[in-house]
Parts: sequence; structure tokens; C-alpha cells
Amino acid sequence: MATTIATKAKKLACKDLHSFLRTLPPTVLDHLYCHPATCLAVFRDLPELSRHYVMRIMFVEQAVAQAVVRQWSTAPQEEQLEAAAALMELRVWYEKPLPGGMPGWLLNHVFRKNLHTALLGGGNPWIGNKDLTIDKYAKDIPFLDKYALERWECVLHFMVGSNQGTDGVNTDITDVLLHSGLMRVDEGEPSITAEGFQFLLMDTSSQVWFFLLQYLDTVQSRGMDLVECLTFLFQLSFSTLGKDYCTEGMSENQLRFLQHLREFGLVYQRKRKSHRYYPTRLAVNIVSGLSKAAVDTHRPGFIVVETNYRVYAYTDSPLQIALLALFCDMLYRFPNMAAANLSRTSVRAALSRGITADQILHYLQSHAHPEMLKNSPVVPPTITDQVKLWELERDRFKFNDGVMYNQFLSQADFELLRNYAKDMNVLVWEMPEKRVLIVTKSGHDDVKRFWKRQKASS
Amino acid sequence: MSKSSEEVLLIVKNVKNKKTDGTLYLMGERMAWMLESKNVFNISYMYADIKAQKISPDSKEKVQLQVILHDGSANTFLFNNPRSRQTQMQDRESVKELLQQLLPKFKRKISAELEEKNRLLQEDPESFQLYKDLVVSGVITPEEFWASRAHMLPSSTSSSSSSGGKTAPAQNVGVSPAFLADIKPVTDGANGLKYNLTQDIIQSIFKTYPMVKKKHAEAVPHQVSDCEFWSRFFQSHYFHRDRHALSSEDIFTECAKNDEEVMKDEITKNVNDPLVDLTQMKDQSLEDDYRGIVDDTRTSNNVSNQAMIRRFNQHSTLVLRACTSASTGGVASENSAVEGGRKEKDSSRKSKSNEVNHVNGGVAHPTNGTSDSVEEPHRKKKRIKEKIGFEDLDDKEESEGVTLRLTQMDRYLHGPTPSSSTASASVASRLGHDDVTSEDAILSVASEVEGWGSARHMVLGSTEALSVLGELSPGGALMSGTSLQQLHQQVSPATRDEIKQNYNAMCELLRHFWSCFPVSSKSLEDKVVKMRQTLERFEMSKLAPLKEKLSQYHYAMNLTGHLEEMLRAAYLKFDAWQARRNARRP
Amino acid sequence: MDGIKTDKLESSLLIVILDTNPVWWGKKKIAQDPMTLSHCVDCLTVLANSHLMVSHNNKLAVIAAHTDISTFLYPSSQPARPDIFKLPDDGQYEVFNSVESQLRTQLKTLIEADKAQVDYMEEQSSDSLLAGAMCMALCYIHRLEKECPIGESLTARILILKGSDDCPSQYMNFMNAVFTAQKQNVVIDACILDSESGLLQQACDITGGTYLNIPQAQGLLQYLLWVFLPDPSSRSKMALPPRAQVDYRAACFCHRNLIEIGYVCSVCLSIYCSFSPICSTCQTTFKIIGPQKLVKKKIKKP
Repeated sequence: MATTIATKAKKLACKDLHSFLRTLPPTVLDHLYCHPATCLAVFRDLPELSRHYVMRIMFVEQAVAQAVVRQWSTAPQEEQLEAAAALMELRVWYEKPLPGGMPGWLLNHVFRKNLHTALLGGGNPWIGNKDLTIDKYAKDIPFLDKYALERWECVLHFMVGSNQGTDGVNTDITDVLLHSGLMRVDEGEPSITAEGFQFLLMDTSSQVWFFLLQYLDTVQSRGMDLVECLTFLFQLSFSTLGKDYCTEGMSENQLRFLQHLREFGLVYQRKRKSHRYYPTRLAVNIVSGLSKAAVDTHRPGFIVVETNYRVYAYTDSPLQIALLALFCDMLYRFPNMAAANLSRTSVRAALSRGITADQILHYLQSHAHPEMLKNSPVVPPTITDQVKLWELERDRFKFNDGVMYNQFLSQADFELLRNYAKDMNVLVWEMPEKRVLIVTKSGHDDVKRFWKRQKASS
Repeated sequence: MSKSSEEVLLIVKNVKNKKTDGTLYLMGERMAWMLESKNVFNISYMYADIKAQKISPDSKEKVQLQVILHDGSANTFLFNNPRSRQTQMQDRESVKELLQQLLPKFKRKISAELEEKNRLLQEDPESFQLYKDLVVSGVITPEEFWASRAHMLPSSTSSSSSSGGKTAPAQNVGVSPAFLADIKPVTDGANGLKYNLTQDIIQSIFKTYPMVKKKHAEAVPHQVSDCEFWSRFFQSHYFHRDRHALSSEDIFTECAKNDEEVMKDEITKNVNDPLVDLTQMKDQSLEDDYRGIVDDTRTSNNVSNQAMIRRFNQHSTLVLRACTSASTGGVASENSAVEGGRKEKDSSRKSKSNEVNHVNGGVAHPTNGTSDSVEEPHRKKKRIKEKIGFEDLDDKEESEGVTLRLTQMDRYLHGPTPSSSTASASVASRLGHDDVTSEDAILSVASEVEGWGSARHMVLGSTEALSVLGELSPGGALMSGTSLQQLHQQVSPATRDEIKQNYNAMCELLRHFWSCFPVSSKSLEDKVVKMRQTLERFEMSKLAPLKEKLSQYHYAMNLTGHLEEMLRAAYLKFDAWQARRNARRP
Repeated sequence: MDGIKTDKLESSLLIVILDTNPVWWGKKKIAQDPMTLSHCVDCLTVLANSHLMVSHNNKLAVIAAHTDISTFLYPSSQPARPDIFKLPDDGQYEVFNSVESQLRTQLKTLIEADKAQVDYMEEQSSDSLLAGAMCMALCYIHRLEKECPIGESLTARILILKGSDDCPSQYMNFMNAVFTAQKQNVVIDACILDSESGLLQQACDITGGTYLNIPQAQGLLQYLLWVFLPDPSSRSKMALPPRAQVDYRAACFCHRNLIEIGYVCSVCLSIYCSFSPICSTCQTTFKIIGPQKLVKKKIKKP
């Protein structure tokens, strides 16, 4: 009896804001809408049609007949339904019968009020919106970019286990990484998992978003309030790069959250006790920037892929080169450039680690050199096709769990059992010459019982 | 099927078929045979169905003609005119001749027409649908169907128009260069050679050798028979390649002479490029030259070779010209074109010496024409200039352009806008305060701006928003013209297709119906009555079920309304016509 | 991460041209019309901010077409220094707040400059420099398109908010701007606050934009949000007011009457309602004689 079990690496799923919010309980959502920033973020994440629906009824303070709303759009029925459903799911509007009894839509009151506030003003100022005196140590945007990148790469370095500047990584980050399954503890030392490799190949904004989602999962276990953290995160997302903000008015939880964000490199704070913080590019627009842009906007790409499978990486970052080495054969290393080769073996090695062809190609594309971006498509089609073909190559086997029966004493016994299995539709494979047959795992019990009965009767 | 196609071209009596006597008819589109005592055709073959005809050899006793059909079957007609064997032969010859002329015409036409129709139906699914709806279901006959579509058939030779004598100008078929070689003589026992001439070949010969055509026209009916003419043609030296010995008594001698003229003409006409000097060309390869052995004598040695090469060249020239003259002049004018060409040649003959050029293939450059030599340097210059001047090397001429001198600039700049004075005046009066000076206005705006409060929260009230929402929602004041819901969204594509199909079919029928008016002949009268019945049938068999089906969907609109309306109109017209006719013919 | 995302980052640029003719607005104000400049600007601000709100990538510019100058209200020509940059004192999103404050400041400066000059100037023409503002908008679009980083694309449109009457003296410039916009695939929308504008009707029709005359001033914002907020690309999905039939008839140069058939000078393209041997605009002489007038023969009736 032999059993084979198919092992396949889980593909890393990165939720977008919409699907994340959908997982939240309605009360949390209603709470979230109390802040204008959340409403803005949610609004931008809606389907286009839904956004226009909201704009059209924003100033109408009563329910609007569903039949009327349906006529506003000439788009296909599915799109309209999708738009309405998205608004329902996020509780932006809900059904309310009109006085005449007709079904109508009514905009969530809290949502309307706060979106109104964001658009027109009024209400309470945002957390920490207080004009500060001019900072003596004012930081400009390039500094912030550099800072953010350094901090973030620290995390990535830590993941791949290189000891370059990983001293800044503390237990908070490790916790999140372990929680998310990007790393696991092997012999006391955390080490990267297959999912971790996939994570490394994502573009930075997706990485940050994914990381934060995982972080938010752990928030409650740390005794912090999810709504407060989310509110602050959304507000941060709508702040201006290169501007300093005040920590005044923030709750205890939010201050803790801020410290965590500082560790990830999402905000810059000169000193822990400083009342002033600067959001970095990682934080700004983290919500709406997700998965919309194929390019890492804040850092110029460095990879050139040629149709001859050569890959040139104009970078001195050991991390990036290490990432390339995940799926390339490295050829040469120069002070500011490295050359590599995409080969079948190298790609297959990456695939066996659970990295998908799509992830490889996405990495190449999102880090493409500006010169390469001028091409359309960015990555040469030969490369795209070949990498995908190499992936398909691995899919030639179909794995079925099964149980093998052999060493039958007579051909008649074999045939008897085989016919039974065939009739039950559980036969996977047979070899009459050697009297071997394999039945599915689910059919095993049945067949076994049958065999025992046969044995007993004979 | 007009009557003229049934026009009888030839009647031959005393023709036996399967041992019974009868009469053979050759008509416009078919051949038929009738039993002696009856007046119905026992046998009738469309020419299009006939593949070939065969005749019994003269040596045989019976004078027979066999017709082989496309399906492989054959029928034999025995000519047994009681008068003499000679008349029997004559009868058969006349039938054969006529068939010979008719068969190729039909063969091409019918197949071409069928193919064309087939193609049309395949390419145009709408027509195909109509064809299926109307013809296959027997509502109208195929002829009617195609008659209304005659314009769609490019080489339209549908039955009704072919006999009318008005054939569309078909594309002219060129002459195969090998047509003479293709005429293979068949040895006929000991007698000698036998040439099988088809109408095609004869046409080709005429086209290529206009002189022969002329001779044929001159000689055939009076001096010699057709057969005789052709046998002489083939016998003559003209046909054979060794043409240096010209016998004077041959009627084709003149042709040969004429050919020489034509050739010389061609030479002067075509080979006068100053940049090409054919006399300097030697028929030798580079290697010979390299070795320094010049074998110049080789080319001019063999007189018969020369003659043959010249024949080839001339033949090719004529073949090519046959095409061009046909394409420019069309079939009808071909004759005159050839005639004209010949006259021209005659006149040019006078200015040129009759000396025959010996160089093969027509290389010589005749310099004896006086008028030519004057023109020559000029033409040469032009040609050389053409060759050595390169357009891209020339300087680009850049024109400055002409400046527009305007005397009334403001008027020009105003463009075609209507006078504004009246418009603005009306606005001012509408506002009702002409007296407000712009000064006051500016000051009032300035004061407004100064005291600009933050009224932005009141920017849009709920009631106003709602009323505008009403205006802009479909059905509102500003949305007039847009229907509540587009019709194409209501009706499923399958239903849409079905309605369209029925529309097409009915329009086709109605077109037939209306084309009968004014009813001027008996046939039209019949047709209009028939069409009326057809329409009624259509309404019963197609429209009614469709209407029933549509009623199940409960569409707000009556989708078949227009169809019915059109039918009513046709019925009304018919009834009116019938009433009038009945009144006239009590 | 499903597959390779090849779609480019698309940003949409909205340029609003506001007719700030002080004479026209002043007359409205004096007539106690509900349509005041402040109301209009407030509505416009909300529309502009809504445009920015719809997508992170959206861009905005506002140009004022004044009587003697066309100027950018937003982004203002002096770059806002971050240290002067004030945070909103209420719950408004700071970007929207800065748009609003910049618009107001710039407009105030513009009107105050007029007020200072009011004593010196003689009766001012009530024309707004619409054509000039459109040209500025087109130039701005062109610049942004050129500056657009690789891998991104920009679609631009112009919305004209106009109250004062058409200015015939700008006809040539206006039409040139319209055809340029057509060539650059820039859609021109028009929101008319008062009397119909034949020129803008044509402009919208040529560039495929929407033309709307606002029936009631109070609901201005709702009209704007409804009709002009959707991008041209997404308008096909929305049920919007049908496009009106545009009167393309030209007026003759001689009498300024609208005509359907006329005579056109082959040199300067002037239009005349009757034939004249000399073009009075460019002095071109025509040698050919115009078609003979049909002489009506009197038919004698018995």
C-alpha cells in the first residue's frame, strides 16, 4: 500500500482594501465611517459607477427609488448590479422603502456626513491637525524616501537572513512576520518560508499593504483598538508628503501604533518623544495606491531583460540581487551592476520554492529600468511565454491519492477486486500482468470490506 | 422565361431517334426532338446540359449525330432525308454547325451563372436566408428571385435579359500564346491530317491575325467554303514556319507581306529608346568575350532559324496586341479598330522603303523616315534627361505663400457670427437694468468678494438637489428624447434576429408585389394576383405565428405593427386595382 | 496579483475655465439674481474637489477668463511654500482645503485689481477673454502630457463655466482653439449660466463634449456633479442629457444674417448673402459672373 500526497505551495493572496473591509463586522465599519479619511478611502476604492451613484445622491437627504437609480446608467446589467452590491457590502447605502412602498436606496447617514465634511469642511479637525512651528530639523522629501527605504529594506533583509542592518528589527516585526507565515521558527531561528519568497517579489506598496494587513490582524491581541488604528492609518494615507504633523490629540493606542509604523518606516520621527512626525512615501496613499500601479513609483527601476534571457540589474543593493538570484543564474557582479541569466533550471528552482511564474514576471516588470518601460510590452513576450511554459511543464503530473493492492494469489482474485473497484468508480490504475491495482483513498474502505467478505466466504 | 429564348433556329425533318421518325428542332436554349405525329417534344435537351456532339465519319453509311450529355448519357440522331445522302449530310452539317456555335456559349454562361449565384448566396447570409424563406418554401420561383437580383450578378446574363440582346460587357479573354501549337492535327487514316477547329480557336486566330479575318470575310461565302478556307490556311506557307518561299497564287501571300509591314511598324514604334542599342548586343555570353573569341557570324548564318525567330517574335507581338486592342475597343469595336490600324499602316507604308530587314527579331533602326528624324533628337534629349535627372537631388522649391491682404480685419476676425448687438441688448433688457454701469457692477462684485463668508456648507440644499435629480433622471425635463429604456435592451437578440428575418422576407415579397404596378400586361396581371396570394400565405404562415410568439413576451411596443401596416397598404392597393379592373371589364 | 498588469496608470486632468467677467457678475448681483459669483465659485470648488476625490491620480487646474487677462487660479503661479501651507481648522481634507483657499485668494486678487482700476478706465467692454483662457488650458495640457512619466497616460478635458455673452471679435481665436482641442483629443464641456452660446455649442459638438444650460441657479452644484463629473470615458455608462442639435448656420459678413446658402470668397473665405464682384473683406476681384438670376416670365393667361 502506497500513498502519495500532493504538496503544493499556497499562493500568497493579497487582499485589497475592499475585500479587507468586507471581512470587518458591520459595527466596526460604522465606527470607521466616523472619520472623514476613512470615508475618502472607501469612496476611492468603490467601483467607478458606485462612486458616481454616491456623488449623485450625496446632497439628497432622502431615499431614492431603486428603479430610478437603475436608469441612471446605461452600462450592462452586471456592472450595475456589481456597483450596487459594492455599496451594499460596505454599508455605504442600504435599502429603505420609499413612502409609497417602492424599494429605495438611502445613503449611510454617517458616511454621508463625513464624506461631506471631507469635501466641504466642517466638523472636527483631523487628529493632530494643528499647525506646528517651523521644524528646526525639517526634512525634505529625498531624505524621507531614503529613510523609508532603509527601514523597509531592513525588514526584507531580516527575512532573507542577511545580517546587514537587521539590528533595528525588533520583536514587533518578527511577530508579524511569524504570524503571517512569511517566516517560521526553525531550530530557534526564524527562517523564510515559501510564502516569504513570494512576498519578497511583490512591489513595495503591495508588500507594505500586505504587511499592514497582517499587522492589523495582531492588533487586537496586543490590546489595541482596530478602529483607532485603521482610522489613523487612513488619515496617514491622506497626508501630504514632506509635511510634518503633530502627535497631539492622539490616543495612547494610536501613539503605540505610530511607534510601530516608525519601525516599519511608514513615518519618520526624529525622537521617540518628539511631537512631530513626517509620513513617508510608504504611508502616503497606501490605501488607494494598492495594486493600481504596476510600477514602483518612488524608486526608479533597475532591471533590463533582453530577449536572449539576459537580465541586467543596475543596483548595488545586495537584497535586490539576492532576490534576482532566486530565479536567475547570476553571472557577473560589478560595483553597480549585476548580470544574470534566466534559465530553465533557475526558474524551475524558483518554481519549486512555490514562486509562481506570474510573480517572477511581475517582479521583472515592476522593477523594469526606465529605458525598458518604453517598450510595449515591457518584458519581451518571448521571456513571458517561456517562463510561463516552464511553469506549465511542472504541471504535467496529476496527483491522486490512492491505495495500492498487490500480491494477489490468483488472476481471478485480482479480476474480481478490479471489477468491483471499477463498478464503484474508484479504480485509479491497474496492471493485470503484475496483478497490481490502485483505488482512490475514498474507495479504499469499501474495497477492503468487500475483499474481506470475499475472503471470508471463500 | 421569355418567348424569344424559344425561338426556333433550325428545323430538320426526317430525323430518326430510336428507330422512329421525327423532327429535330434547334431553339434558342435547347434542342428538341418531336415524334412525327405529335406536337409535344419527346426529347428536349438544354444546351447547357450537352457536353459534346459527335458525328459519324463520312465513310459510314448512316449519317448520324450523337449528343453526349453531362451526366454521361448519349442520344443518337439519324438523319435520313429520303431525298439523297447528300441532303442528309447537309442536314447534319447544318445541325452540327449550329450546335458548334451554340454549345460553347451556353457551357460558359450557365456554369458561370450558377457559380455566381452560388457565390452570392454563400457570401450574403441575408440573401441566403431570403432564398431559403421564399424560394425553398415555394413562395416565389427561383427565376423571380434572381430577376430582382439581376443587379447583383455582375455578368448578368439571366434568362430574361440574354435574349434581349443587351449583354453586359464581359471581360475579354486574352489569347493564349500557344493556341496555334495547341491545335493538334489528328491523323485520319490514310487521308492526311485533320484539324479540329473550335469556335474559340477561330476567334483566336482572327484576333491574332487580322489579315486572316479579312481574308475570311472576303473569301468564305463566295470563293471557298469555310472548311476549304481553313484547310488552305493550314496548308499555306503562312502557317508553316519556313516562309521564305512565297507562292503567288496563295491567298495568304498577301498576309505574309502584310505581316512584314506590321513587324517593321512595330520595330519603329517600340524600339526607339536611345538608351538601348540592340545592334550592339551580341548573342554571346561573357565568357566568350573574355576569351576574346568573337563568333559573330553564328547569328546571321541560318536563314531558316532567323525566319523562325522572327515568326516567334511576330506571333508574340500579335498575341499581345490582340489583348490590348480587345480591352480598349471592346468586342464590338474590335473590327473597326483593326481596320483603322491597317489603314494607318497603309499610309505609313508610302513613306518607308519596302526593304525587308534581315536582322532577327526586329532590331534595326529605320532612319529613313524624314518626319521621324526631325523629331528624333528632341525625343532623345527628353528621354536622356528623364534618365539622368533625379528628382530627389533637385532643390526643394519652397513657396513663400501669398499673404492675405485684408481691408476689413475686424470683419474677418468676427467670422460668420450673427450680429451681437441685438443679442446683448436683449440680454440687458431681460435683466432689466440697462442703467447699471459697468463701474457699479464691478464695485458690487468687489464688495461681494470682500465679504465672502464660508457659505459653502449651504452650497446645495437637499430639496434643490432632489429637484435637479428629477430633472436629470431619465424621463426628466432635461432628458427628453432619451427613452426610458433602449429598445434593444428590452428585446433579446434571438427575437431581434427573428423579426429582422421576417422583415427581410416580407420586404422582398412586397417589392415583387409593388413592381407589378402599373399593371400593363397580362403576365403582370397574373403575377400581381399571384403575389397577393403569396402575401396572404406569408401572413398566415409566418407573420401570425411571430405575432403570437411576441405576445407571450408582453412587449410594451407593437413590434409587428409596421409589418402589418405594410401588408394592409399592399392589400388596399390590390383591392383598388381589382375593383377598377372589374369596373372596366364588366 | 492576477497576471501581469499591463494597464497604464491613467490620470485625468480637469481644467475648469471660469468666466469671471466682473461686469456681468456685478449686474447679476445688482439684479438680485440667485446666481452670484460666490455661489458659483463655491459650487465650482466642490466640483473640482469631487474630481480630485474620485481618484488619487486625478489632476486639476482652474483658469479665470477675465475681461483683460486670463490667469490661473489653481494651481497658482506662485508655488505654495509648505511652511505657509495651512492645515484646515475643521474636518476638511487638507488638499481640498488648499484648493479652496487658493481659488478664493486668487479670485479676490483679481477682482480687487479691477476695483483699483475702476476709476481710471472708461466704459469697459463686457467681453471675457475666453479664447485666450482656452489657449492657456491647451498649453497647460500639452505641458503636462510632455511631463507625464513613462508608463503613465493623461487624458484631459476642459469645462467652461460661462455667463457673459459670446464675443464675436474672438471668433477666429476661439475656433482655432476648438479645432486644436479636437486634434489633441481634448473634450470641451460647457456649462452655461445665462443665455445660450452658439460658439460653445459648436465647440462642444466638435470635440464631443456636453453642453448644458443650467435651468435653475440654486441647483448648480447638482448639475455639475451629475453631468460634468463623469469622465468622457465613463460617460458612455451614464444616462446623460441627449446632445442637442447644433445650429451650424453661418452669418454673412455683410449683414450678419444667418444664411443657409451663400457666396464664399475663395481667397479669404468671407461669406456673403448675395454675389458681389469684389470681396469687400480682401478686395479680391472676381471675373466670373455669378449665376444669372432667374427671370420670371410672366405667363400670359388667356
